[in-house]
Amino acid sequence: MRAKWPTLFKVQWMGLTGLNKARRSGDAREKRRAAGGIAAVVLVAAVFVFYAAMLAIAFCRQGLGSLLPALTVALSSVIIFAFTLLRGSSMLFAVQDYDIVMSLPVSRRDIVTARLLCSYLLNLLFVLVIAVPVMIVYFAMEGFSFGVLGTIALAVAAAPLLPLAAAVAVGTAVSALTARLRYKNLLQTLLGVAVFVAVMIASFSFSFSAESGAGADMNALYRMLVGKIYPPALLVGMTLAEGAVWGVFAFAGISLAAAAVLVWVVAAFYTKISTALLSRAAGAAYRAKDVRASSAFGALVRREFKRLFSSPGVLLNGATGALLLLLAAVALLFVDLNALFEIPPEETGAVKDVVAYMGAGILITLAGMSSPAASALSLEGRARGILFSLPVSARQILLAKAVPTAVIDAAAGLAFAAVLCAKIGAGAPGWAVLLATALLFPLLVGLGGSFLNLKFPKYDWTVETQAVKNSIPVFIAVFGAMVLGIGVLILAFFVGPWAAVAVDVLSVALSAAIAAYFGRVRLYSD
Amino acid sequence: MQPILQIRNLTKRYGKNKTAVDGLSLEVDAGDIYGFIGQNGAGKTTTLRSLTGIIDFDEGEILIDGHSVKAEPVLCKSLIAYIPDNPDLYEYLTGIQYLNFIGDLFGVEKETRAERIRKYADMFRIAGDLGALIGSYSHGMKQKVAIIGALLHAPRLMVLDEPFVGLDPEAAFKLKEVFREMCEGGAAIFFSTHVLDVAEKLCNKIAIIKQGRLIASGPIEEVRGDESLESVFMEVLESDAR
Repeated sequence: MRAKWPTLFKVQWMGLTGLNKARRSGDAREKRRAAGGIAAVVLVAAVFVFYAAMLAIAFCRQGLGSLLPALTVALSSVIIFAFTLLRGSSMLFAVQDYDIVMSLPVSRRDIVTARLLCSYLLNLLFVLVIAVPVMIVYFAMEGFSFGVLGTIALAVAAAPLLPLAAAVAVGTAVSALTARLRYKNLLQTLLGVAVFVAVMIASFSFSFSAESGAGADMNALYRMLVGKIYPPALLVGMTLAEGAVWGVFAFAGISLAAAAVLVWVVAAFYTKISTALLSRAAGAAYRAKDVRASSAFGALVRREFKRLFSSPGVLLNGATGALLLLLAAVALLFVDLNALFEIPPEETGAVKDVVAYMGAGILITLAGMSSPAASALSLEGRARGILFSLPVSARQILLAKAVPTAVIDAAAGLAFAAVLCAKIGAGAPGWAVLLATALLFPLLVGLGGSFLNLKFPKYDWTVETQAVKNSIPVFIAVFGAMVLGIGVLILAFFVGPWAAVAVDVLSVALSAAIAAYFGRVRLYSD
Repeated sequence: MQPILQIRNLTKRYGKNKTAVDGLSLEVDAGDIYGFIGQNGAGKTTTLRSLTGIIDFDEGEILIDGHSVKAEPVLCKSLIAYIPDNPDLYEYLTGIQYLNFIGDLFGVEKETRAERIRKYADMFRIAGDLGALIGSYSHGMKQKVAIIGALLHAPRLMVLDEPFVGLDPEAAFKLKEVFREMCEGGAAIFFSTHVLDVAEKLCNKIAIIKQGRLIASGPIEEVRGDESLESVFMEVLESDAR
């Protein structure tokens, strides 16, 4: 009998990319949205290509070119693992088309394979954006051979499999263990956060231990780093450095085996876990209490906060950056920044302020990673008509959707700013710039996220994470902020506070313009 | 002759405290139009989702044409067509893309598929809209596409959850005609409904479920006796209130 996963995969991929909808829709707006989305993706990919190529050139010039393939595989694998963890098991379970798919004559293995394949391809595209420019630089500066090309092609193709399988396995285990518990959403979120934090801490501690253990030999240092953060990548390095051909095949074999085992195990428990996750028996008996009344806007804001905390996928993706800011703030309490940056005690505040301006770049990058506003409208999904029919203005709805983002990012940003400035001993300019950025940039992330979601809504998601992780507004918010943040970080050396100040001014101007624009918006379900 | 659907002692629990379906047993024979009625939360949808293999169940056995839903899920599903109460179709596909997707998964031959799509699309007056995205359809149009998809592989057993909700009167009439036609051809229909009039006029057998337990089942004349189905149903509800 013909395998049915390709048919399932094709339909799910069409939904994920949204291209079929744009192509088949007679609505010009839909086509414009798709074109805008593609342009944004290409632009961000171009920035990544540029960064990756520059880094690769720098590595080759330092004589570290031979490490590039293994390092690319290792770093992209860790990123894939961390970001897949944020999705938890939502790509497999609690999917809206569960009833349709499960009533069709397809095996559970086909269903799991099709869903994982979608995720694999997305991650492969990410790896390619990093790997292709790196490899072009590598071949240009280190010399080309078909053997190396074949090795790298196989390594890149296999690279997403193992981290994807490992992260999905963790997510599935968490789902399975908590599925029958009353507070499963909260528990899944907490466990997801705990695993994510553990991965981040482990990565940082590995890099520090590698740095301290390798002395001045950069080659040894990076080889140790690759080995610490992602040992299987050393197999790729063995093939390239020592000519051990079996290395890359072993890497591909391990990756493929991990994915196959995952499919086999998850398929065996798929119905049981899904049933438990989707079961919603009536909760505890309601006891009448005094009803709480608030303004319409207050009610909308409260609802947005509840939505943010409603599911692990939404919260994990929506609050990652804020969480990392808080973690950074806590970590800074235990780090001697003056020693780290080799700032002599007698140094003036002006030099220390540069660290604060760099901190603004980090804050901007991480705050951009937490933009639940960029998917809040999309999350209304097919039930959006209910919200749009309420007697509140579109401005109230869109502003309410921006509030949780602005609040959580500002709170985490202020904590980070205060700890950084206090620890470094920043002067008044450093404090002023970093605190202003912590307050003003989250405002732009919130309102800008809401604006982007208005322009690129994705209501036809079948899994929440399609809206909160893989949608165009989230993509623009996260990577746009990343580009801006890295720019501020680098420019802090050259222009001092002015790059961060420019972002602050831009935040105020754009936020005001967006808030004014919301007054002219009308929300319709079509 | 072997029943098309046999449910034996089906029990489904949600957590420790909530038993959604409690030891339910019934049989649906070829040619039956079997109505399944009960209040909201009585366990109708849970039963339908269990027998279509969508959710797992705790105890009992479900056989489709003699095959166990647990042991041979794919085979059983190939004999069934299921239409949920609110068909959540892929909104990013056109109607015809969705039907081809369903046709591919059920392995319906190209010519047969084309012929059936034409027949049912004309019947439900939706042929001209099949090229449009499902996201642009009304609830009733989505329901019609789901019905056509369900009929594509000529199922042995059609399982429907509130099939008449959202359908215009003409489409509802046509669907009843299709039900009768299918049953004459040896298939069976098992559907849940709140519309007692429909159950009374359309079904030859009915089952009444209350709080997960089967209260009455069998030929409609036996279940209702000399009373109307509405009266019988209300008596069942009131017996609970007492």
